[in-house]
Amino acid sequence: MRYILLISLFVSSLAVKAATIKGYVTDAQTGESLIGATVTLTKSDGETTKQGVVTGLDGSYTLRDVPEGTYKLTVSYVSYKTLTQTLTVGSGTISQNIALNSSSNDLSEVVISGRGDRESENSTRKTEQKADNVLNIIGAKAISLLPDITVGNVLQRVSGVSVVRNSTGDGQFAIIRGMDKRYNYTLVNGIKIPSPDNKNRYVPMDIFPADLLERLEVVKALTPSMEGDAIGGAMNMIMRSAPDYLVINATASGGYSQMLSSQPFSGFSTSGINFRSPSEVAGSNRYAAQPSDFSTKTAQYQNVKLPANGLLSLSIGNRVLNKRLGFLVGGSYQHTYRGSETTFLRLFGQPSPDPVPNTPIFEFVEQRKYSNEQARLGLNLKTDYVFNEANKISLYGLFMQLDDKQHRTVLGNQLVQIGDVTTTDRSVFRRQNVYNASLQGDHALTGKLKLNWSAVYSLAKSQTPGWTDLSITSRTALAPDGVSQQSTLYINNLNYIWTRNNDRDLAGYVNLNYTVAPGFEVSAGGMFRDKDRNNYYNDYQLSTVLPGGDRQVFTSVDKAIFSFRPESYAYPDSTNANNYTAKEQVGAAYIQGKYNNDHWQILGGVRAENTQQSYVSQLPVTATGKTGKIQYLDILPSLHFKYKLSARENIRLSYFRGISRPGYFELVPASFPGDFYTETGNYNLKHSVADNLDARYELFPRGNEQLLIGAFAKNIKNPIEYGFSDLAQNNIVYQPINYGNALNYGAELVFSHYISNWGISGNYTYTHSRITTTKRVYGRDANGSTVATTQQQTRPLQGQSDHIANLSLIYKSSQTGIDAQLAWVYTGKRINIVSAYKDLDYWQRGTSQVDFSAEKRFGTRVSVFAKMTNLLNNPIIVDILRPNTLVGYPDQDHTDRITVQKDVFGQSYLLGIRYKR
Amino acid sequence: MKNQIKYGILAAGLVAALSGCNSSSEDVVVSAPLFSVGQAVSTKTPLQGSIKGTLKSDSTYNVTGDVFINEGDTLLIQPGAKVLFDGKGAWYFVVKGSLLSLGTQAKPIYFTVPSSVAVKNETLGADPTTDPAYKGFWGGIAGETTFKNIIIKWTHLDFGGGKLGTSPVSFLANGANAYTLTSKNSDGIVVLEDSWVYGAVDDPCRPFGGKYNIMRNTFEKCGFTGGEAFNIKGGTVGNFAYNLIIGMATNGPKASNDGQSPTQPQTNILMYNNTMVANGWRRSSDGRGGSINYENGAKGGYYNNLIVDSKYGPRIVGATASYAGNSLVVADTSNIKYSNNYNYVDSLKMANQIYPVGFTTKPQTTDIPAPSTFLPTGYKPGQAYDGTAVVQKNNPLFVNFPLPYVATKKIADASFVGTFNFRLQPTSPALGKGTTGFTPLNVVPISERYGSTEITAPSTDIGAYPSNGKGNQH
Repeated sequence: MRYILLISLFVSSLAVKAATIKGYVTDAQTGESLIGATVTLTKSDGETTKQGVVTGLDGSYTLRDVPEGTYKLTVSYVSYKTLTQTLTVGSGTISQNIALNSSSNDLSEVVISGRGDRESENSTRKTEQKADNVLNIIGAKAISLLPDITVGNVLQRVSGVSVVRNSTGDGQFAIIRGMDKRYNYTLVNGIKIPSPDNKNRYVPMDIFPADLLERLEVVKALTPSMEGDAIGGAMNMIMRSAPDYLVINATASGGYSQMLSSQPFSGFSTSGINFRSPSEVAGSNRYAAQPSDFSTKTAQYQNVKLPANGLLSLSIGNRVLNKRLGFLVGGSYQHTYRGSETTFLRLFGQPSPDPVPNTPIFEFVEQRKYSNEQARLGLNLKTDYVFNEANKISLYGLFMQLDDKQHRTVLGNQLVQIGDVTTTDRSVFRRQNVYNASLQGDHALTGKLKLNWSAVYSLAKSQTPGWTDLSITSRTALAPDGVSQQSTLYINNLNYIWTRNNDRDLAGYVNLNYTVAPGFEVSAGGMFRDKDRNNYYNDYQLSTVLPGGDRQVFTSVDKAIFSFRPESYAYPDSTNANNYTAKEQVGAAYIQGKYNNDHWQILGGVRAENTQQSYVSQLPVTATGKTGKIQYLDILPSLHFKYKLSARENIRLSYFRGISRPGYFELVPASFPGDFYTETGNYNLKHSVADNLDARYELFPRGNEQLLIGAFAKNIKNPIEYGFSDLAQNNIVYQPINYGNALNYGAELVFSHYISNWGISGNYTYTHSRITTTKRVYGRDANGSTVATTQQQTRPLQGQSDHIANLSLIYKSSQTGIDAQLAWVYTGKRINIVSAYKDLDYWQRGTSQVDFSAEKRFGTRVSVFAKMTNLLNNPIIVDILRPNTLVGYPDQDHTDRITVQKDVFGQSYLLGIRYKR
Repeated sequence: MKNQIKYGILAAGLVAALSGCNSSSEDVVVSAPLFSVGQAVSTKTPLQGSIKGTLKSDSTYNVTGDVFINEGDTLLIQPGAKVLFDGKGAWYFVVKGSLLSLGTQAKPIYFTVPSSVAVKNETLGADPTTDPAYKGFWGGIAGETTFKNIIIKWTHLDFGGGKLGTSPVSFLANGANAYTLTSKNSDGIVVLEDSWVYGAVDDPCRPFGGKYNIMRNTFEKCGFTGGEAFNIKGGTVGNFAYNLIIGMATNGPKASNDGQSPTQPQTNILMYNNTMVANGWRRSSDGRGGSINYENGAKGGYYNNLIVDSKYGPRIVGATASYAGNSLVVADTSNIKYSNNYNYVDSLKMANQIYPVGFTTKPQTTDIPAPSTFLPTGYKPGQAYDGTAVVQKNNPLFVNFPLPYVATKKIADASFVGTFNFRLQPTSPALGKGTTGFTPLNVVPISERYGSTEITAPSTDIGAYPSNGKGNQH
């Protein structure tokens, strides 16, 4: 294509010998600013390069002190055609804007077929702008600049997303627009993956290393071609894909967690762990285990002298065989040590009726210390083979493994005057895996008809072998003189648990796309998934009682004497209700049409999803619901309307209907009796169905700048919440229940703005939701007898914060090769745990975190980076919103609330080097 | 004492016979028909699955799996029947309807295991880690949420309370310890009378609500390293009286209002005229009691109990308790009444816990030993004190039990009745020291078959064996 070069000369009345050349470099087709494009000025005689600069965050460049003369101006940028132009320079300031043409020609629908640098911020914004539906994207370039190393942490940077943290303070699950994790699903390259979680569908996002991603999309409005079981949204991890040219990326970094300077890392060896429990090793469910079958190595703790973190990643991609075979192999390994500390007031399971109903009472004040060692391995293979213009197949393989070794020490009550004080050590080694293999084909059957298919095998697995609980007790007695006296240490029962679960998915997808007329497409397709899930659970309790019935004095765990008393404890607990299998088949079909012209686009259609579920439980044959089958059909319409106010502005309106299926085990009426109430599943539980409305104004002023203002509303029918129900006379249980409808609405603002080397970006989401559930009240009647009653309480949905915000200050200098980012994330107060008792919900206080990252490039291929997280060491604090009359308890700083938990994670630092070509 | 009663009956019979000679009308005595329900259950096929009807007198039944008595059904067990569990699982009798185990003094019923599975070890000082009493060879009798009656009279419940596999009961967890007698229906009626409960891994009797009358029974060797004779949870009302309790791991009766649900009343239990010997000694963790305990919202009262060589005296958890190791929550202290309890101790350690340190039990002037003889002036409940003055004082003078206890090395060895006799000698200082100033809780009907034979009134004598002979008949 020919292009236009606009030259404007502003000649001042005063003749000077040097001039300044300024301008913007943009994409010729879209007008986006190109960041980091190289601009060089050469004397037209070709002798010496006079000057060279790189464009800034807004695509601008400036060349100063250019002597008079005739020059060649050369502008180059990855995946764009290099442009050379002759320029005559006099004096003063010359404004020179340059538009570059893409070297590939199919950037129109980036999500599916783009070959540009899809990892860049520009491409990300472009995808958002061009997308058919409401979504937010973070590209790999942005991710590499973030302080985050796992996808779980990256998620919190996305507008409207807050995270639920794991015990090391890292994000694990996403709450999207106030919708709890159960209402969202996770995709890899658009394919849904199963979860290694033992009871639920949602995928722990801390498994995935961030550096394998090409980009992360959070889709907030579903189209008919997408699977329908999301109400909050879908997280789509697009893994790095095969490039058009040789690409090598490598990083190596090391780091340290500040917490470990004050609290030594106390680890354990997994060398004695067998992935199979003793009864499985013996191959018999009637095997009487021997104490020698159990390794005590997991309960022997050693301090790690230099708990340094190490991270490596490498990816290589190219296109060979006459550009027909493209591949990308990526690997990431992260080995980290984290520590954290928690103060915990353990609430007694049943409140007190005095002085007022549901007065919280506390059993313990605990100090919990965590030492977490994590090894995270990710392997990613993408290959595609292009037969011809019309036919392409691709194979994708994913392997993720997270080995998490957690040692938790709970120091018993420090306030005790009489009785036993127990210190508990827990060692949990958990291996979680996600495997995925997808074979996909793209075929242009005719000029107008395209076929696209996928055959997918996925397996998610979690194994927790030899979970060990060791507790040591000392006796505190009050002597006649009123002073507490502590006894020697005694060792209590030693407990082991083996648990694991598999979730296997086989799925096939077929999509047909027919171009009826230019700008008018119709697609139809279907999907079938077969899911097989099983859970294994077995536990053993080894007694430490000595012959004669005496308590055993503790010296060290390897010297302790263990036995099975009574002998029946030596048999496996394979009848535990945590052993179950569940199957699910989902069949879906959709039809959708898309019409667009210069001003507007409309996409609409309908999807039908048929769900068939079945389970087999450990309930006795005399019980109702030992096995079960559940079937339902959902018709899910959706309509997405986009009006282009201008080339840079959209208005979107969309409606979709989404569903959320109950967790696998929430349907099984197996009961888990507790001291105060029995928990059980509910086969009458209905899946949730939500009608969702979205409106959004989008402005893309240039390049990577944006302004998004949106509003949403969700009317959720049959959301799943826990509450009490009368199963039968005198049989009141705590179970998942549908409590009618809930309304969830809110507004979002996303912006980013750049001035030369400086940028500011942020987002803010307001969310409001309400649900009313039954709760228990324990008080007194008119006669002074205690009485339990059931009352309704209205509250926000669990996990929903009214306010979520992110703000980042970005510095990016192409000249010096320095990028830096200071990021602040705020999660407003929200309910962490819904209590079964009225007014005793656990509220997490509004919490901030500040992180910093920076990168300095040397040449074009090597850079050094640093990431620092949680700079201000902000704790996470959880309260019960009741008047505080406690005396002598730690961390109580308000009279209107009782602080029940305070987690401190400390800062962490990472320094690394990156190679890129 | 047994002989005295027999002679009394004989004398009355002679008088009646003589007076009968003087009458011209016939004095007719015929036998009543043996009470039965529905069809007789065959002894030929092992018991398992849903069963109703009658287990015949003097017959032996073998249990090879969980037994269910469905809603609306009744299973009657006639005197002298033996129900033998195979010991291959913690099999339960799950009662959704009614279970009537109506033994007699002459023909008691047995729920036990054949001698090939376990026999009682009645050697003093036997090692509890090898004693079959603490192994649990069957589950128990469980009243599901719908049951109407569980009436157990003159029945031996031996070697129950094992480890469950798949729980057949909605309110017990898979893999948990079974309880020999348990139920969860606040409208259900449970009567345990004149029976024997021997051995259990944990609590032999744990109600999760219901109307209970536990009277004139003998509890021996229950709880391996923890366990109460009668561990009461939320929503339970009734009496626990005239029981002999020896060798519990922890307490005799313990009342709590844990988990009171909207259809249930507050736990309210009267514990009176029990004799408790050598309890609390197998409890591995500290400070969990050794006689009577009230905690977490329970109310009621305790009177006329005779407590001998137990690890702790009666314990009421009050607001002052600063205690850990296990959840201890305040009892409904203002609604618990007590007096006239008798404590005998053989060591200073026990003497220092007659009023347990850290708890709110208030000494009563009617208690024996008199609080004024050993507590310091200005004593406040829960305060540590020196009990030297009462060690080995006020021997209650049992007919046959050595006090001070010097038979073998430790008091914990005295965990079964055997040849001991806990009736009181005529000179016992416990006689005439009790109170009758309270009324038992009449929550179950008085009935030969569907309720309690007799709700025995309190006695002026302390302990389970009052001199009027109306107490424990064992």
